[in-house]
Formats: sequence, C-alpha cells, structure tokens
Amino acid sequence: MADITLSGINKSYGKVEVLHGIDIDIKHGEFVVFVGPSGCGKSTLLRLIAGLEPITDGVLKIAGNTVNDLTPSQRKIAMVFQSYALYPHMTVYKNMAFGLTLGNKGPLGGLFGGGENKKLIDEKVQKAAKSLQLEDYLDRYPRELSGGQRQRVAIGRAIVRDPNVFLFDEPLSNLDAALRVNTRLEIAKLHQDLDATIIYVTHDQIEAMTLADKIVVVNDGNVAQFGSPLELYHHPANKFVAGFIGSPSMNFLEGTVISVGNKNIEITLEHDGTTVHIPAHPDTTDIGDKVTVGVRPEHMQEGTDLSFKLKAKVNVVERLGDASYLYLDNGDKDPLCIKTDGHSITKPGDIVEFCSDFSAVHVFDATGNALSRTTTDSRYTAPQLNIKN
Amino acid sequence: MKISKRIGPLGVHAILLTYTVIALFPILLVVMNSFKSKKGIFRDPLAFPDATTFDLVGFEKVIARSSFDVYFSNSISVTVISLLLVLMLGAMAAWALAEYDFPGSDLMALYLAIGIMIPIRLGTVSLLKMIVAMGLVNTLTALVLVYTAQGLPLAIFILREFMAQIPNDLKEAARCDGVSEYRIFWSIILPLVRPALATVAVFTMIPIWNDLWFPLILAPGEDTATVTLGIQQFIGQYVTDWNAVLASLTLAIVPILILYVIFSRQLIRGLTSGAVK
Repeated sequence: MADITLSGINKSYGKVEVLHGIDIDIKHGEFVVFVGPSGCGKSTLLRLIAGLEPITDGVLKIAGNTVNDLTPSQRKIAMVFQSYALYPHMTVYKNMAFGLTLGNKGPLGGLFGGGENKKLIDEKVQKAAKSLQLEDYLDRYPRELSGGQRQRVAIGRAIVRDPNVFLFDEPLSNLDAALRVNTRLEIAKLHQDLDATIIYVTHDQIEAMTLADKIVVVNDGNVAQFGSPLELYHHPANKFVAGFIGSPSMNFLEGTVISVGNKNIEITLEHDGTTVHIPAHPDTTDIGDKVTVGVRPEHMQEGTDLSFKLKAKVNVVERLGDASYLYLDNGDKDPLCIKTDGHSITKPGDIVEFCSDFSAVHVFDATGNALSRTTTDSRYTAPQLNIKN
Repeated sequence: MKISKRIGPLGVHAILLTYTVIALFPILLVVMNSFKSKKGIFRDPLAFPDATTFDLVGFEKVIARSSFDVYFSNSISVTVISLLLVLMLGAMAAWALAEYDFPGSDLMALYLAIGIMIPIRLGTVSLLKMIVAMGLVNTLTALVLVYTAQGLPLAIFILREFMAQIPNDLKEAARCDGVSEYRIFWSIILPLVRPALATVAVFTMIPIWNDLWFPLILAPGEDTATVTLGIQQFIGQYVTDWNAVLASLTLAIVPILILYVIFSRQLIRGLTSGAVK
C-alpha cells in the first residue's frame, strides 16, 4: 500500500515562497491530477514528491514513512518527464533496463554494476515492452522513434522499476492532438492494469477531467480545491476553480445582495438590473454585499423558457457542428458565452434573449469563495459514482 | 542577381583554398624533400623527387644513427598519458563545476579559466624548481605533469559548457532510476559529450606533441628526449643534416595524424548523431 500524505508542505527559493502549506491525502491506487495555470507551482510540488528538490518545510509520507530526506530511488517512485528524457545513446531495451542493472552496493555507489541479474531484468523489460507494444523497437535508438513511441518507452522505463508511485510531468504536452487522445486512453488503461498510485501534472483541464480519480487544483502555491472531477465541476469551492474547470469557462456577472433567506439569496445584477433568486446558503454574506454569480455556458440556452432570463448583443459566433458558442457583449468585462444548438441561426450583431435555471447558478462572495448551493436538482449536482477503492 | 549569388560561395572557397595551400605548403615541402638526396634538395627544393633525386638516405640515417625509436616512444607515451589525464580529470572537474553548486564554485571556475589566458611557460623557472625539488628531472613523469596542467584549463572550460547544455531532465530521470552520481557521470554524461571530448583531445595533443620547450628544460637526457628534441641533434652550429631532419620530421607527422583521424571521426559521428532529434 502506498498512501501519500503531504502535510504543511512549503517550498521557498531563497526568500520567495512558491508553495504555501500544501495538505493533500492520496490513497493507494488513486489517480490524482495536479492541474493549474502555468507557474502555479504544480510541477514544483511534483518534484518535491519525487525528491528532485528539497522540501523547505512540512512532512511528506509515502506508505507511512517520512521520506523528506530520501533520494528519489529510495522513495521508490518513477517519473515520466515531459521531454521523455530517454538516454539518447542507449537502445530502447537499454533505456528500460538501465535502472535495474545498477545496485547501490559496491564501491563508488554501484559504479561497477551490482544490480539485479540479467535474466530477471530481461523478463521485466520484455513484459513491459509487450504491454506497451514496444517489442519490435527494443533495438532501436530513441532518435529513431516517433514522439508517441518515445513516450511509451519513457512509461516502460517507469514500469520496469515496479515503483510505489508513478509521477507524470505533463507527459502529453509534446504530442500532437490525435496522439494525445490515444496516449491519454493508454495511460487510463495502464492505471487500471497496474493498480498503482499515479500523480499526474498537467495544465490541460480535459486531461485532468478524463484521467483523474481526484483532481488537485493548484493556484498560486495553494490548493484551491481537492476532489473528484465532477465535484469540482458541480461544486467548485471558489471562483478560481469554477473558472478553471469547464470549457469554455464559466460566465461571471457582478451583483449586490438585496435579501438573504435560510436557503436562498436574492441578488440584483449589475448587467441589467435583473433580480435573481439563487438557492444557495448565504453563510456570512449580508444585504448590500458585492457578490459574483456564475453560470456555465452549457447551462444556458437561447429563449426565455427557464427562470433566469437575460438579454445581450452577440459579438462572435463559433460553430462547431454539434453545438455553437455565442459570445455576448458584456461591457468591459469578459464576454458571456452560451453553448447553444448547432443549428442555431443566430449571427453576430443580433440581440438575443437567453436563459438559465436559478438552480444552475453559483454564487461567490467578495473574497471569491463559493456559497454552498442548496439545490437538489440532479442535473446541476454531482452524481454519486460507485468507483472502486 | 544570379551572378552575385554565386560569387559569395566562390569567394569563400577561394579564401579557404588559399589558406589550405598556405598551411599545407611547408608540410608538403618537408615530406617531399625527405625523399630526396642532398643534391636534389639544394638544387631544386620545390621539385618532386624523381628517379635521379629519389633517395632514402635521410630515413636510413635517422634509424641507424640515432635512438629515434626511443624518442618516438617517449613522445607517444607522454602525449597519450597526458591526454588521458587531461580528458579524465578535465571532464570530472567540468562536471563538478557544471552540475553541483558548492561554495566558491564560481571562483574555482574563474581560477581555472585564468589558466587559459596565462601561458604556462611564464612559470618555467618555478616549474623547474619544483621538478628539481621533487627529484623528477630527466623523467617523463615531469613532462606528463606539466602537460596535464597545461591542458586542463581549456579542457575544463570547453567541457563545462557542453555539460551545462545536457538537459536537466536526463540527469533527473537517471536519479529517479536510482543511478548513482558516479554512474550518471560515466554512463550518461561522458557518452553525450563525446564530440566535445574529441575536440578537447585534438586541441590538447598537438601542442604536447610539438613542444620543444619543456623537453629541453625538464628532460633533455638521451633516454627521455622526445621526437622534437631528438631531431635537434641533426641541426648543428656549422653543419645541418637536412636529409635526417626532414626525414625525422616526416616520421613525426605520422602518429599525430593517426590520432587526429581517430578523434575527428568521433567528432563527426557525435555531431551527426546529435543533429537528428
């Protein structure tokens, strides 16, 4: 069992603190994705777990043991890099076998070998090669392989080490779009086959949503939210997560609270002065407070059929076939976006009426934290999934 | 337009060709005249050897009248051992300076770089004193030590630049694989900087092979003389045996040429293997 526990992890470079007290609990066998914008610290966090950089403060435990001062190999982790990091002067076979041929015994840290015996190594490499369909390429050099094949070799090199934890650092970023989808599926399958704990870093929220059992949204060195993909989608803890998860991202409208109830809240929108009744717990917000309401583009539609009605001018229309995205004028703020039917004949310049359901609306207080939603509408809440573990 | 486009490369080639001719001319002259009789050399130094002037007397004299084999093996062992030491120690120092951040690493790099700027010959007197104190006068060891010191600064400088360019991911992947730092150096870094090693080898060995200064001062004995020093016995104050001088010079070119071919192959192979990504 390889549970991973991060408690109060801090990382500073000189005087600059880049991670501010990260607490995460990862169970054995979970596929956890760290996602966030560039420079948020997600890769640094992965490198701390890998042991490639020292932890400034806090405790990191793998399988119950504190591993702060252990080397990467002592932590029994295997890492797959964005650049693949294959040894260019070794064949595919040697790339995969290299880590096994060395032990830490003997003089000069195993300079003269001392690893596992050849037969055992061969067995492991062949097995990994078979599962990754690399058998025909074992004698080739990395430069003779395509990007997808190199990625598989890098994964194979990780598999043969039989690690406690797999770490992936943006492994798909260097692949083209079609290959990325394929490799994503392969990684998902790999997780099912290996029953291993995987930590995966990406800036692509589609990868995060599709692969993860749990997502850690990292923002500016803090964990913005930690939860299952659908929890994050339906119940974002703050404005940042709400905007980051989902594509196109959530629409935000400014407003002022005009009355608070037990399980609902009434807000006047700056956009056109409409008053909306949102089923959300007001918490500490009071009458007169500034708040932000958020609605996902896919929860909006053209027409006036639903409870939350608005009107605006269309600036841009993106037609994707199965759906069209309307981008609406929103003054000097980010444009509003509606996902509408692919057959919509709305064109730029039209004034459209559009609507959504009050139950689909999220409310964020002045500090950006979400008010807990009280709706029971199953269309707008996370379904209960019976996932293993 | 078309003409001016062609003139560019032509001009470059003309300049390069001229330089090649100028550089090769003295060597050609030496090799050519080493196969001629004394009369042939003085009558027409620029002529190729023909039936009347062809003569191997120079080579015969060199082999019969001097211990050329001793000079030769001295030169080869001094060059090869110094070269190996420079490459090995240089690569290790370069790796330490490129990869590890230790207190004073920048100062250390600067200190080593100064060796490139200051000619080692300025220190001849103190070097001689040191060698005398160590009791190494008239030994090849003295030469090896001095040449190693002479070659190290440039070797470290070049190798450090190359090693700094090796992607970090590779070293980190190796560390995740449980590869020890020594093993990373030998099995990953050294193979990857092979072109640089070849460059350093070429730059290091030629000055060592050609040096007259230190053999003359530190090891002038009959048993420890190198080729360049050995040849001097044919150059006298009143009489110079040109046949023998030219023949021994011709012979001296051969080993360095072989070494150069070996290293330059490495150089080219390394460059092309890196080019295909």
